[in-house]
Amino acid sequence: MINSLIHPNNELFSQFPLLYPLICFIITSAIVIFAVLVLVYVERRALALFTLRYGPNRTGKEGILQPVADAIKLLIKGDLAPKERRKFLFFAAPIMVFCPVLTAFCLVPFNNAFLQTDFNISLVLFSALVSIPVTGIFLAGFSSNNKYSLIGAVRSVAQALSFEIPMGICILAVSFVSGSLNINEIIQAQSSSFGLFGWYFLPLFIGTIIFFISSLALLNRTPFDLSEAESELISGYNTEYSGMKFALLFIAEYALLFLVSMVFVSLFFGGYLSPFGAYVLPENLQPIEQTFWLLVKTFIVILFIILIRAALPRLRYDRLLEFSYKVLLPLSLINLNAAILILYFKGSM
Amino acid sequence: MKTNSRNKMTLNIGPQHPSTHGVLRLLVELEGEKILKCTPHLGYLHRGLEKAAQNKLFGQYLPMVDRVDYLSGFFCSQAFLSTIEELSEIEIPKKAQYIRVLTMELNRIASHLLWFGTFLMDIGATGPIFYAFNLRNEILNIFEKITGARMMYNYYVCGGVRRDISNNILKEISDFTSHFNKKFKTLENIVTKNPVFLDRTTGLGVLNTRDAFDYSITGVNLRASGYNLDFRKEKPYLVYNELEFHTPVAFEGDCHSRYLLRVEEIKVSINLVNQCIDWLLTHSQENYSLNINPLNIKPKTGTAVSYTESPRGLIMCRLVTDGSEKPKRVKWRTPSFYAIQILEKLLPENTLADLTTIYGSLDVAISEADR
Repeated sequence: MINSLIHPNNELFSQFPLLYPLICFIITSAIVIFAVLVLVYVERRALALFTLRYGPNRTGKEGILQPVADAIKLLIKGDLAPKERRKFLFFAAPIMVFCPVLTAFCLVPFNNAFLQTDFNISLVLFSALVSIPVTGIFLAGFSSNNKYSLIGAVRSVAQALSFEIPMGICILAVSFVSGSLNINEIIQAQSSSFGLFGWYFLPLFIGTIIFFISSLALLNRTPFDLSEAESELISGYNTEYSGMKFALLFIAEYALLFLVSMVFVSLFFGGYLSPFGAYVLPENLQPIEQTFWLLVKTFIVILFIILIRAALPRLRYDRLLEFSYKVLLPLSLINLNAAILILYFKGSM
Repeated sequence: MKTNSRNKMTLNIGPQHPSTHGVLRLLVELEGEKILKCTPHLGYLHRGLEKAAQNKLFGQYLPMVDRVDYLSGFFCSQAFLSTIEELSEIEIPKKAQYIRVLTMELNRIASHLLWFGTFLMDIGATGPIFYAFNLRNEILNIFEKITGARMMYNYYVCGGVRRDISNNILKEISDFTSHFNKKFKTLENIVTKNPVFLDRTTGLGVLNTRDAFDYSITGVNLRASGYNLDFRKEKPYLVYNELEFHTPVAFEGDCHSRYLLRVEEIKVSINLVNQCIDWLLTHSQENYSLNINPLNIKPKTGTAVSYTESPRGLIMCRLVTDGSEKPKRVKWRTPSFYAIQILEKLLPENTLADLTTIYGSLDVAISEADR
């Protein structure tokens, strides 16, 4: 069932069967930590530069040690908690938010040679894993025994539920056109000699936009960040958290941002494929170049998300739900029809 | 819909809150997310400015007057001094009048820019506030060159202003206004037609003219509801009857029209500033000197009332004197007090998310509501 290209050829893995998952776990954790450290810095610096400020530029050269300083600060902070909280839920909620995100990082292929997992249903698994943090956020707000947190948590759940539907339909459209739910096969289906023009964002561009907007809503980011609206709710569901639990929620948010951007790029922008069609580096160095392309595209998408945060005000949550059901859902169905038409013409050619 | 008393939640939007623009306490009764009743509680910034006037000489009270509304200090100074000048029958030289109008209109632009930034920040956009404050910073630097201070100016005295404005500063101001329109246009472009912003502000917090009259609302809040009352044209003071300007009026009365009116007023004020600079540059040969001792003010016995159109509405100052060198009674009628009162009428039947939008669109400064 696990069909990786490295697995059958290596005797070490058949001798120690747990070695392969362990290596994947270490690699995934390293990627998550690296991604979060970079994102914390990039978000604050880019957001500041977009709004005529400097951002953190003193810790280390140009501020690159800022995430390290943040991490140390959060680790040594005392673990305050309100007395009337629900103890187990308060403790468990950050874990519930973080662990599915960590797990879902295995699903995204970084290059064609080393696949951490090669499930034939990895897209469905991704969709399911991304839904679990929503419950975690609700429990975080609910167990805090704080009216503002409760309002934030309830809003967050309503928003996530309503935006997952158009997102799911867009995923469906992509799987129709590519013929598979395996993210690696979807990426391979986008490869062609046309390079950039063979990717799915051209025929399915409505789907690209809908998936992008829905992912902003799932990440609780502006313009959909009313669960953390500082001017109304102080900090929403994570008001009462401090120290390591807050660090977990914080890391989970940025890890989810990175993960969803990578999946977005994989589904619509060719993942690790080169925009020129052919690769620049020679045969055995191609995996490195593929990883490079994936990271560059993800980074551009993340910068765009931060730019949106700098520019747009917040949508009111009932208008947001209206937007999702009355605008995004019909458009995603139109997108699905476009995908079916493409499939028809591809099949008849 | 019948409201069950078990479903009601009382939320205290505290004196300290990121978006109450000062210390205002709102007791809000909620049913789910819908506001049923709102009770504002004032007084957290009460400094006793009216009582303090009774124990101070006129010259000693003058610096405190700037702080009635710290965002529009020149207007409060003008309101107070206008009463003294009326009672003492002092004629202000033409040049000083033009300088006063110039500084007041620049102050109006600075105040509206601050409102613009904070209104958008309350709605959630964290970008425009920095751009607006950048523009406001240039105005404050100009004020520092003219008066020596960025916010608490203490520049007007009885009979005129403290010192003249040199031609260099006038040229700097005209450089500023010539670049301002383009810079403000880039800021307006991402906000005014932004669908999220329009969605958030149109049709919200509609104030009809009848309610505005009942609650004594003046200024932009009234003009957005369709009634054109501008005290610069109604009871012209200083040189406003010589300057050409129009007062924008809107008819919907919602948050969006209040926003549009304030943006339009910034442009009208730029035009006024340009007219003042032109006059001052052509009359720059006349030396301006203050020939009244500002410390020795003893107006006649009597009562005088002055009307000043500040960025928030009408500031009315009533001065009662008894012939001594201290005022007997100073009464300030400030527009934000009435704008807070109308929250009781505007907020119910809206959701909690709209509270900051409606409150922000009224441009309330707690310092002048509490005095």
